[in-house]
Amino acid sequence: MQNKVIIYSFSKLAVQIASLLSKKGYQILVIEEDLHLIKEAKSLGYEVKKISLMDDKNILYLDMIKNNIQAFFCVSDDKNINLFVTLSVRNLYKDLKIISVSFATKDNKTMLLAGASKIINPYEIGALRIFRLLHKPYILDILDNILFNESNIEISEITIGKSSIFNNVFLKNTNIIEENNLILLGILDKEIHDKFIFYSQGIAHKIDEGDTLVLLGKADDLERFTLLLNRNK
Amino acid sequence: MNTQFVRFAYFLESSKKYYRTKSFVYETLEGTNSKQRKYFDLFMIFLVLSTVAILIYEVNHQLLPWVDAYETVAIIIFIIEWLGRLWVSSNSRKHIIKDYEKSQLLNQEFHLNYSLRKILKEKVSFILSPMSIIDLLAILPYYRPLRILRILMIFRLFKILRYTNSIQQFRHVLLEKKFEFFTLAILFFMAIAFGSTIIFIYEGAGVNPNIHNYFDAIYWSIITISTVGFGDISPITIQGRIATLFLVVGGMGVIAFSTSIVTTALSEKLLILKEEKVMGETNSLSSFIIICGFGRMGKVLAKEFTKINQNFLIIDKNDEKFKDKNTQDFLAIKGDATDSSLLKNIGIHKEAATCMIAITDDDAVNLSIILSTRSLNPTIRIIARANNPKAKEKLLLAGASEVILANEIAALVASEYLGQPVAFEAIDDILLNSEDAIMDEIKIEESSYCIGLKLESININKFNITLIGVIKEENKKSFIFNPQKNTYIVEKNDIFIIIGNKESIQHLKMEILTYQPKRRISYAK
Repeated sequence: MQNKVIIYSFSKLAVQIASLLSKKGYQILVIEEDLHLIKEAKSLGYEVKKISLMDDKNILYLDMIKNNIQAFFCVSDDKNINLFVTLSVRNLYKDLKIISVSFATKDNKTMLLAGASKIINPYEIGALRIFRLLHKPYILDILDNILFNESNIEISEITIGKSSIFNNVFLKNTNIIEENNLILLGILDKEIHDKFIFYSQGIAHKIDEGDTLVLLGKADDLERFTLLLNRNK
Repeated sequence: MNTQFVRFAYFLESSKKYYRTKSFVYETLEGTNSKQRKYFDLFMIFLVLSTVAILIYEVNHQLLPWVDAYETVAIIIFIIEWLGRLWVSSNSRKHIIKDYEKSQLLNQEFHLNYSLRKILKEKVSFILSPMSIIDLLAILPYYRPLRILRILMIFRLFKILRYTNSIQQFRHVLLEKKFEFFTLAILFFMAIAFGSTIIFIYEGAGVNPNIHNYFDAIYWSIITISTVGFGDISPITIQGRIATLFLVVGGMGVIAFSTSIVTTALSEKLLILKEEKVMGETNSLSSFIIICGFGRMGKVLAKEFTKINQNFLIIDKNDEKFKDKNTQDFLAIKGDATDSSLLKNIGIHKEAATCMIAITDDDAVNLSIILSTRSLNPTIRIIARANNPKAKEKLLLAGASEVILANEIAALVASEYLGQPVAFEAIDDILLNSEDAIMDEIKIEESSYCIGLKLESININKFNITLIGVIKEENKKSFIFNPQKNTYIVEKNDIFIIIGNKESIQHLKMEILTYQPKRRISYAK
């Protein structure tokens, strides 16, 4: 079954998100009320539903669990509508990934409180990009290559399984990451909390089942390491 | 004789030394934003205040001998200053050259007198200007035989008007409202004339023992209309009292009217004053960046620039955006950044302006800003924001060096979240410069002790810093990802790309750039 995402409101940001995700093979469902934007979304080949999500009945009508919805993007240009819809969707679907847009850093907290799993602030990201263009051009270049371009260096996350050779291993006692020419950016440790901890913050603990490692490396090295990691003890 | 004057004028016109000297004197005495003028003004204020203080001290003290010498020096400086101002007030040589060339063109005889008259007219016009008269009145009391002129020393205080911008601006405000003040003055004098005449007619002929002549009547009118009311002269007739009532009411009107004129003029001028101040400050900066559009993106950018002490100037049509308590200290101008004259005034054509950032939410406005900027400075770096992806090409065509599509980058980040949510957290933190992890670069300078050492000798890990790779600047900026610690040898101009928290990075930078190891380190062979 094809992965499906819902994009609420076909804003300028939504156009970009839909374009990227459809290229990655996701099926897009656009929720929009504006006839002009509906026409635009349809012309780009997206499935569109003209309903208001200010009413819970309509959210339930989308039946996100049955329809295997992977994520809900709440990217309206109206901050208050975003908050309202995020809260409503979260109230009905506790485990759904909700990615909401925020236009000011000060609004991030309220958006998280409303239930967003992740917040995207295009202005902040854009401004920091300009800042890096001026002051950290090398870093920008490298980040672009790693994150967005087709370079041979990739960022990857690997979750440790119960039978993994890495399970119950102390980080300080192993050189396996270095030996595979990889860089450990950080860990999401399920036992401590759900926050991502950068390796540079000084991680000195045991890797357990359920932990997720975020690694940076060449595609081949990452692939080899993933196989190695999942090899049974 | 005529020929000698013309030759001399041409000599001055072609002399770089003369031009430099005159420019220096002009900048010192009259330059709007010159550094030397600031110091000169401060020096002159000190000189004026000290000589006035001497005058006050002299009233009931015996002066010390050196004080006279001090005043002589001060007066000499005042005279030199006045002569300097007289010199730079006009370009006399240009009149002679212009008239001479005109006569040559028309094949007519050149009349030096005609040029000299024009020069004289300009110089006399300067000499008779209010500030020049104040300067002269400040010098005059030095002539001791005219002791009565000592009181003119007080005019030196007026000289301070020259040296303080805010007082000068206040003077300009008053001058701009001279019609209103003139009308007010006529009303005032009419009221005084009526009041004085009425009181003199009814109480002047021995009726009121305190009113002996018309001067007493005028004195009473002014004291009454100003609402001071000493009470030494009071009306005793019913007509006199009625006149008093009208004068008091009229007086309040005069005060209210004059206050409102000054207040209105000042508030009108306030914005211009602020702009002039900002432009003055901008012109004194050795390098600055211009941000056009102080929206959500502009605010984030300004915050980041503030963190690294980068000078910047904001231009936005809506000055309400600058009134936030976090942003009111920024250098900001209310204006249209597409206006070439505004861009010229802020010095976009100068070397100090290093980058123009056009980030309004209107692509057409951004394009117009780019074109206006490019027309004034063909080499300046221009970074523009495209709100619509289709506008990117046009912005580049207009002359933008780089174009940012904020939505495109945000969409890229958002799309990463679906596949790898944990990796996304890392990306997000790095992209947003979070407290936990900053991606930074360290350049290995020539003086660094690390040159020639293996990476493992530097032991970056002890700082809790992750080394992502090294950029070889001298080798076409090639990037070596995750260099091997036991084999890679650090070279001059290597750029380390690292991830760590702010403090760790600071420590590492200090160590790499300044630390000199005491113990002997084995260099790689």
